[in-house]
Amino acid sequence: MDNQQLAQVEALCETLYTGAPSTGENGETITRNEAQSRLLSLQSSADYIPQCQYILDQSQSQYARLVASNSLTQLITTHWNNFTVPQRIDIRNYVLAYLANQGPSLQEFVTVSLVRLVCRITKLGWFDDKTHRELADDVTKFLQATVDHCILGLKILNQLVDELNIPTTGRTLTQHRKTSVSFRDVCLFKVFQLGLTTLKQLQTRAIGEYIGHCVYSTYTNNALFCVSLVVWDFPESHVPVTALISFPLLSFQINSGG
Amino acid sequence: MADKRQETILGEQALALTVRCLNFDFIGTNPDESTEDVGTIQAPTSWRSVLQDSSTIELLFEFYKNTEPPRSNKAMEAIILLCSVRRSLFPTDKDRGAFLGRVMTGIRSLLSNQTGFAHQDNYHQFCRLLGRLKANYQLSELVKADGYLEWLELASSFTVQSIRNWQYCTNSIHYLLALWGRLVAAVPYVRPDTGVQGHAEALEKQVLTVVEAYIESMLGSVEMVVNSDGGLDDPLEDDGSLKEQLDRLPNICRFKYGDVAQLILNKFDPLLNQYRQALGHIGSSSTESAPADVSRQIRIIEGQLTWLTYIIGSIVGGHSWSSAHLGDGDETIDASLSRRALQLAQCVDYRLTQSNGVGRADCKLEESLLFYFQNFRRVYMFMWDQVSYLSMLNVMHHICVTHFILY
Repeated sequence: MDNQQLAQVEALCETLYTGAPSTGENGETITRNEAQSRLLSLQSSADYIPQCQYILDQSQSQYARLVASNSLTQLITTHWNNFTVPQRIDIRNYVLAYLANQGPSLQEFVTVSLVRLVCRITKLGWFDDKTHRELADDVTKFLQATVDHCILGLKILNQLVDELNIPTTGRTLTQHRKTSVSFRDVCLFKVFQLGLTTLKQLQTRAIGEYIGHCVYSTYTNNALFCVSLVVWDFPESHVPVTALISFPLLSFQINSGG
Repeated sequence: MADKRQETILGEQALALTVRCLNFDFIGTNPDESTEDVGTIQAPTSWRSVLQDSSTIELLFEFYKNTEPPRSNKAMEAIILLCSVRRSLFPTDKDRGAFLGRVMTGIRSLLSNQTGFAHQDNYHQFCRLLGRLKANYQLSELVKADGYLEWLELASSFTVQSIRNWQYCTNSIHYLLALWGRLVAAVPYVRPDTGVQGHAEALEKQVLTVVEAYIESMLGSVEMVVNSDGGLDDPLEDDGSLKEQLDRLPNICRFKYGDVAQLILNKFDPLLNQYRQALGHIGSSSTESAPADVSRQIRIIEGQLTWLTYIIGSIVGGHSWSSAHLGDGDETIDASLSRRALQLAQCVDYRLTQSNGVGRADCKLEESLLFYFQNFRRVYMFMWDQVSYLSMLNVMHHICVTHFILY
């Protein structure tokens, strides 16, 4: 695929999602239906995977990214057995890295589609390799980065639980239960705890602001120096959970000090 | 630092994740996603420390209190799921009791402060929580919890208040009725000396209050609907909710059957008299062609009689032949209620034949009469098909009831 082809794909995507007709390479007018059937050919063979990746990497059009991501999900689900185990991991790592690098700047619908793709690969490849079973650990890194990454990480976890809980068409119920039970035993509790930890952090931070206010007045009145308390910008400063849990202790010190 | 908007999204996502994890199909028993009613949560034993930890449920209650929908109702959903965790997860009854105590404290505090009930989503989830509590815990456990009596009274006034504001919560009332139905159904299995003193009497009192409020409000709803000229949805036309409510009534009403029947009769007899008088005024003309105020009056009376007939039908249909639940004299009461339904049917029928089919009652009233007959037949006339299987005793019952109805 080259730049010219990419521009064509982008034009088709624009037509598909906005309905505005575009012009083909021979000057013909392309309607929405025509655009849709041309774009669907991206899902026809596993050979198009590099094209999809190219679109994701090169295109600035959110619609083109969406089409590429949806096509990848479709290709991987239907042609799963055509991929080697390392290839599957490669695609998974590629999408995850893409989300980490571009995630916060993507439109919601592109994010949703890419998140679904990662989770689909994770489910289908669950027994292939332990990399797939470590998704929750990888996502933990998202949770410790910026606030936008943290939101993205939670979206991935939400989708992961749904994906592993709901059967995919084309797979037997036995396959589904086998994966789902393994996920339950290996991963689900961790995911549940990540959810609760985030809630605790949100709650503690609210309390933190209140304490911060008190500290500030103590500081101005009594000239006490409480520099270590500046932790409530946790997402950007990569503050680990333990720092937040230490709040009650701090508030105790402040109270007894005041 | 997260700004307000980000904080809101983080909260939504984290709460959604919590609910999703608890809702996970742990043992492959509910592949069907559509059911709304929560079953028992079959969480693995390794989750025990977190599920049982008081800070977990307190965290969710805090989120419910301090946020707005959709976060607050998600938090409530998580609380409902947490309350539905399987019994065997708790190492001892004492641990389970302690957990229940925390839940009931949380509920009491929400009830006394009416926290968040102004939001319909919160309100609906809270009704579900009340309904779920008894489903997963036994009455014998509830009566032992701290502050049970206070909880009972708060739950009762919450129910009464909800029923009085039926137009805002038709879909939630049956959850509340379910709670009371489950509470009274469990009474025979609780030893009187268990738990706090006087709990049985307190329950009797609160149940009567709830039933009275229900009858009053549903009768009152008719006039409001007629006056609103189409502005309010008629709860009698909401088949789904109506059926859910009628399903819950027999249990609740038969608990203090004598008192409840008296409530119904006190409403029914004057209404039937008024109905006869009003019909006398319009003779053989149809309701629509009567003067506006008479026609309006007839519509209101018919609507109220429709409610009472549905209520009677469902209660009579809840008669049980197994001796465990059959109180002395219950059949006499069935008979006196049935007598009213039959009188009403007779009155409707008489008007219809006298007016050559012009003076028709509202079809909802006719439907309610059919509902009554179906129930009566199911309970009292099934022996006509299978007389040979019946003991002499049951035939005697049947004869007695017929006797009471006729005389």
